[in-house]
Amino acid sequence: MQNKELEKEFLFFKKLYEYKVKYLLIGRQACIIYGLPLYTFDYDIAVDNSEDNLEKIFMIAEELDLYPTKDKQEILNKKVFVFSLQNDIKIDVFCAKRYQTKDKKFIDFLEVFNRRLIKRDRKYGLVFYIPTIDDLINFKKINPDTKDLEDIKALKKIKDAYYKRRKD
Amino acid sequence: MRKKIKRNRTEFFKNYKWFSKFSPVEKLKIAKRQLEFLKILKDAK
Repeated sequence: MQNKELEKEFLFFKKLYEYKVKYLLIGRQACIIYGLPLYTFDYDIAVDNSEDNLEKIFMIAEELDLYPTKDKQEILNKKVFVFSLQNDIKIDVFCAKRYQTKDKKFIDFLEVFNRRLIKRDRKYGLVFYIPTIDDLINFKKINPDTKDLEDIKALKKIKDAYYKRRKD
Repeated sequence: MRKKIKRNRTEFFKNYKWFSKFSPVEKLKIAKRQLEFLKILKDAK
């Protein structure tokens, strides 16, 4: 599949993989990859906040004409924990080292990244990094709204069904 | 009530089973298309 045939958001993910960026697709898009039939336009990614990793993301953004909504230097200096890359598409980037859920659990990005799932799409030549179901549920618990609570319920359902099938 | 919950659960897994057959990119494309369709429906009201 040629790059020109890929929509910009997919090209973004292709480049993240090519540049070896440490990222995780979180939010509803990750739920969709898990098989939940949901609707969303938002792309949320969590990234490692090392300077090297963030520089790679800025380079990809520049190549795709996407602009950060916060000052680059502030992001690199770790004064900003979330920003967007936007133009004709919008990607929300969460760049904290650790997150705390409402039920007082900590999510350490690198720990979660190291046990990530790798979802390959051979037809489009794309690779997505997504958190395990439990980690995705925890991400959804950081600042949960009604949709997040529904997603958590649905994720738990498929998790239970999957393990039930495995036991059978 | 119990029947209704069971029916909802079956519906959920039916949708999940259907949707899981697609590749990651296809799933994301379907989700985007469905949302665009819903927006058209909403605007048409």
